Amino acid sequence: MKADEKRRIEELGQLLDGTMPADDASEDVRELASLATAVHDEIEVPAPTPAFKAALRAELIEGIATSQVTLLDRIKDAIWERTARWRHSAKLLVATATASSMVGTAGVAVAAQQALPGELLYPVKQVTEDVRMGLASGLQETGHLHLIFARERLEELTDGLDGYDADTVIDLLEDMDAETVAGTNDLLRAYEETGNELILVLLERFAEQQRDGLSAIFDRIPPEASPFLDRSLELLRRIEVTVEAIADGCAVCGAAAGGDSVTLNAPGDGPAVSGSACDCVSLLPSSLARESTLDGTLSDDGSTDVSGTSGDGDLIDGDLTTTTTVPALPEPLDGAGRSLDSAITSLTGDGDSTTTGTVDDTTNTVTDTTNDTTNDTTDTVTDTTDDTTGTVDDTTEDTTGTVDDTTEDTTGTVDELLSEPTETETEILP
Amino acid sequence: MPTTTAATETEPGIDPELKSLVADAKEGDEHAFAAIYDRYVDQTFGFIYRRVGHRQTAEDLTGDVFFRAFRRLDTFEWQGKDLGAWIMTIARNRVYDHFKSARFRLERSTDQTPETPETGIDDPERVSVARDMAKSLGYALEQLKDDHREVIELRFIHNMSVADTAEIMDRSVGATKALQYRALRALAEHVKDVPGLSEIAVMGLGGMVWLLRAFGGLL
Repeated sequence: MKADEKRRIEELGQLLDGTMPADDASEDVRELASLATAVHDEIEVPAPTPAFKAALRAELIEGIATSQVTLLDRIKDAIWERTARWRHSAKLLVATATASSMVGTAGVAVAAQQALPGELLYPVKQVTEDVRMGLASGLQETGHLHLIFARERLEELTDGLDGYDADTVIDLLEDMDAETVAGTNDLLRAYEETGNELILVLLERFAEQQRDGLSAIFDRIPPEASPFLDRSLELLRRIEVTVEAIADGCAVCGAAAGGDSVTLNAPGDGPAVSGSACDCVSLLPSSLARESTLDGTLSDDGSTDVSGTSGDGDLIDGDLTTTTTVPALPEPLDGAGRSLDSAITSLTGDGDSTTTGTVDDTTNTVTDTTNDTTNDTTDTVTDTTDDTTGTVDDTTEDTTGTVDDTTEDTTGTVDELLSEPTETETEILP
Repeated sequence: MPTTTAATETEPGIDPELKSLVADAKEGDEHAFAAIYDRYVDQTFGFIYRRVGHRQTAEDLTGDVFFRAFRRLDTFEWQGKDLGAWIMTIARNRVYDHFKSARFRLERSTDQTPETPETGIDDPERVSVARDMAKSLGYALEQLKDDHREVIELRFIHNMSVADTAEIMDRSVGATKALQYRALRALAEHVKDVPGLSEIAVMGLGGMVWLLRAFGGLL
């Protein structure tokens, strides 16, 4: 940039700011300032209509209120309503009477919530999660619970990492990914049904929080488990890309959100999303987008399952649906009772005196188990909502419309080389 | 309704009421966010409308921008930033996404330009001249390359500061000053053959003031 041009640029800036008297500026700069003033005075800013403003305002208020408050309240209410039915159910009495091992499991169940893999109460914790999932109804509830359980796996990983062997770490990462995929897909389905934008917010925040959590333990992971951790991080990245593409109205994903289903696939299970040939897949590393075929299957009820294994030694394999989808429990107590029975039997059968004592000394009823489970679920839902306060960077926005200032800053060099003023601004749009 | 926590601290240059609204909106207070919306919806809509040239599209995109702003409000920090500029950045990116996804180009037909501005002039002849002038200036603006037009619009139509314009356009302040200089030079080239506007460019600020006053009190 020539010194003369630099001087004019500064003059113009000062003239427009009012820090330089007009008479002190050169004539050509005064002309430019005049032109700027004419633009300011002559070009009118288009105004929105009052009707549009009012309608959008109401839509914002309703959208925010519905998604934040009512959604959580509905989840809590639904859980409470279902457990209330349990408390008055005749089946409860029958089950309580016949499954003696279940009597008094409330204390075990509560204690189990803090259990880590390898500990005696951990199976009870897993069963409790199954019960909670069985109580959930609707995609929003199941989706939230899956994400809560994914977060639980991460916490277990973080809390006990130094004492785990590599296999345990890998198991936890795989379980976490399965919950993540199931939860994300449930919530994407829920978004398709409701158009509730806050679902996308929850997914974004979940992905960011999980990513931060995994990053924090990155250096402590056993070398054998590192590829699995990478895979988990890639999965979270897929969520970010997919959600962002939907939120941004991606030509493909945006259309799919209102029509065809978009399903997140675990790394190794094909493209990032299934259900449409989405360009946003190209945003992913080639290793993730290597498969071009679509592998989502649409079931009769409109949901899409992620299933099957890829043929290239994927780290996450097996039918994810079977590991993450708990079948409906028309008689939830029966299923829960059998599961708990099994878990308690396995605990007491190994002769551990502490556990046996705990079970024997506990005199609570299954009602208490239900209440405790409900409270725990409610608290966890609340905690999750409270904790998921981050957001995911907007990859699309960050990568669009950005013109590097370097272009401007190097103008002077180019100018000097060409010995005449040159503009090297880059066109942003095609 | 959530209570304001961090909003009690005052910082230079930040409207404490606005800061309080942001703090509450971050806590999920929909009415606080609605108040933020009230402050910036006109500016945001105007910016988008001038970019896309179509009212319905501008309304759709404005809705997207505010939903997106709410979703990302947690990421907003006051450090050297203006909330209006932050929202305008979202709007700018949303407009780009719109044109990219729809394979549009920034080529607006003149019949999509905003309504003719009210001049406040009674004399029909003067009204006609003023409208012709605005139309010609608007047309000249349309002929500029995109970032030239954008910097002029942000600075002189939407009254954004150089700093805010720099933030919105993701440039340094120095680069933005240089850009506005070049953009005005380019605009001057386009208006030099337009009757009325050429006088503005020739006469400088004093002459322009005289010219506008001659049109019946536009200033």
